[in-house]
Amino acid sequence: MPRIPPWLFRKANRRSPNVAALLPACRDLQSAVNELRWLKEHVHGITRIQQEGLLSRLCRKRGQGYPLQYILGSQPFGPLDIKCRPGVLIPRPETEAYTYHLADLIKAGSLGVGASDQSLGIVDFCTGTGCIPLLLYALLSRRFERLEVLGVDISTRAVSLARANVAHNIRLGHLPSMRPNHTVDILQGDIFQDQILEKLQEQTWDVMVSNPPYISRRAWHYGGGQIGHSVRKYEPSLALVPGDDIPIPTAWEHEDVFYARLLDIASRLRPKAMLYEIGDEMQAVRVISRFSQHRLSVGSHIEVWRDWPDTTPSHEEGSLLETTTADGRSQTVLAKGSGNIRSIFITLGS
Amino acid sequence: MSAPWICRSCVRALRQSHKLQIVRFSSNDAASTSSSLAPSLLRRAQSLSAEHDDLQKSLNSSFDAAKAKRAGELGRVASALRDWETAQSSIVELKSMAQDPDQDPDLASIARDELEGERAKLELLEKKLKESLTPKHAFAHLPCMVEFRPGPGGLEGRYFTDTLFKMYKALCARRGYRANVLKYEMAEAAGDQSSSSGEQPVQEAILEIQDEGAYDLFRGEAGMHRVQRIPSTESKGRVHTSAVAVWVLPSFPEGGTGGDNVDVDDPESDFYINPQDVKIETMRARGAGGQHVNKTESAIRMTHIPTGTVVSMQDHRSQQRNREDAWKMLRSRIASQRAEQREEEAARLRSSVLSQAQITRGDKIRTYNYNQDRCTDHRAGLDVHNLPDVLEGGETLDKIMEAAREWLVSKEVEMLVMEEEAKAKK
Repeated sequence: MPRIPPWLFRKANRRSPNVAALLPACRDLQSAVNELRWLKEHVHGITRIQQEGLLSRLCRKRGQGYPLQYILGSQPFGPLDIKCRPGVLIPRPETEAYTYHLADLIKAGSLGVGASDQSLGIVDFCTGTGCIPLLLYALLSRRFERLEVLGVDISTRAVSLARANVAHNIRLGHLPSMRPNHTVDILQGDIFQDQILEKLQEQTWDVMVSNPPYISRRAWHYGGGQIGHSVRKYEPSLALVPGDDIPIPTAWEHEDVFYARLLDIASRLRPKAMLYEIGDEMQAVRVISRFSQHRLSVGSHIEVWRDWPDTTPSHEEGSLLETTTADGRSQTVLAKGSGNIRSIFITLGS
Repeated sequence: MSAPWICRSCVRALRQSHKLQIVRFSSNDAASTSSSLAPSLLRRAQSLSAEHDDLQKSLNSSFDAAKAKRAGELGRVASALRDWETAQSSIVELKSMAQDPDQDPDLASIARDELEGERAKLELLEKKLKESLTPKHAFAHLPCMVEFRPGPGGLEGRYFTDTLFKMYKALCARRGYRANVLKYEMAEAAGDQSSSSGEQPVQEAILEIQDEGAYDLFRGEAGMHRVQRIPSTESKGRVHTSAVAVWVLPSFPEGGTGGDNVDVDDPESDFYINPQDVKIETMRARGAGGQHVNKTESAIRMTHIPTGTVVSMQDHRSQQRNREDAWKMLRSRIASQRAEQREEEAARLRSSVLSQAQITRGDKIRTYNYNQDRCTDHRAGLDVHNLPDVLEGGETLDKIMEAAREWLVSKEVEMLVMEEEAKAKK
């Protein structure tokens, strides 16, 4: 990561010492100014006394890399206000973008889910703050007669935060209040254990979503310029790096173990569509190549989505991704939108 | 401490300025209303009124929604014409009474007195009739966005941009409009400083007024607003002049309420934008994303390629919100451009004399002079004092805005008269 030039610090200091304090974390002037404004609004909202001292203290804390969302206690996610607490991963804008895109596809009926019977079941594994199931619920509840949304997470902290988020957003009026046949549930459970699957199998799940831990141990420990300082220091590794005690199936990499497990779960739950967030292009290629050997792949259709699935790509971003199947044949997959490859979207044959 | 010496007449002037509003109408077209109605206009009013009566008759026998709507529009003209005609006939009667030599002298003098009053009334009714004849602006029923940008020049213009922005915001608060700050952006180079009176160096600000019909109320405010004062940055006490551009754009009501609404997905609508024509850029495309980093950067920039219109938004923490705001802004700008183009086209088709009423963006429309405690609207030729009340969005501002609107309407009436006359010649 290039260092911040001293002239930028001087420039920031001229604006205000608070901007300069924020600069190490924000890295450019405009976002430092924006963050200062949001912090000011926050401080103004909680107290009227000792404002200056509190503000500069928060700016210094933020400047050392402490996540802004943990300071403010929330992150807007579409129309929702998602509470954030240390120990639970902060929702990312890319996640927001693909969740919107998924909701649009479902609403347009292009997945063939819920088209005839007006009923839809969505399950999200590794839900964290619960942002994905909540946003899908908010966007789809008007469209369906029956809508069942479930978030699953192993962490008790995440589960209690996700439940708090459901209540919080209903109270704020961002989530339509519950109607009969409309539910949002958060469940605590380890997806590598089979008990939870037995419970889930009692219902039908049309769509399966997951934003699992996908960062490699290598990148986590040695960085290599990929991991943000603030992420490594303050966000939970449980949500980011697959645990060491998880058994690795043959031919899978350690950072991809969650996808291996998610595919196995999918073959038991039989959803019509799956959407998984992934780390980068290489990981997408690896997972797609493993998937091509899986028994689910018969009659399936795969595409990958970039960071912003509904914007037009720039020149250097191809609209196709070259992958190889496990037996060495090459396969091209549609790549939607612009930005980095961010998620894999699979519709399964019936 | 003794107070600084102030000349006596100044003291008197200062004391009075709070109590009484000195309103001066300088000699211009707003004050000198034409004494009699143009015959072409009268003919138009009569024909419209006849149409209204016919419609009313047919509505009594059978109801039709389209006819009822048209009748409602024409009702204004018909009633205004009726009032005008009664006033006219009573004047004729009074005149004959006043001039009749056989009349009782007492009665004649009473008639003369009344004649004065009737004449004044007639003038008022004439104005009303004219206004009712001018077609409503195509966007009149819409909410609006007011955009503020400092003119060329330094910090002073930016500070005053903030003052203007606050002025309109206070006006909305006082009148109970739903106003929403879409954008409030400081100048990059100016620093975190503010002027001695607490003004921020604003680079661009956008105020959205969500009430229906707000466009009609605010459209008279569009143009260059000039300020003359001693800036807080000035060390030698010289008066500076700077300018702020205020643009008023139509906005579309959210959720779609009301009858004849704007449908943004309708390709015929002014607000329609083909999504293929818009390039959307986010500022965080480089490097790893997703779980690897946690950037708070939420800025978004949209470019409408056919017109080159650029909108950028970064006020909100949610990129989605910024995106929605940017779409809204882009739609309003494009709609306003399209309407402007249409008006220009229409002006070109008419004779060149008519296009004078067009307000172009470069025209200076108002001056705020701090030293003279004065605000002048150059189009209406209206001076008001008590500048602090104006800048607080008080009732003095209402007076100016009302005068500006009246001027606009009178210009539109003039255009109508010329058009009708041109039609009659053919």
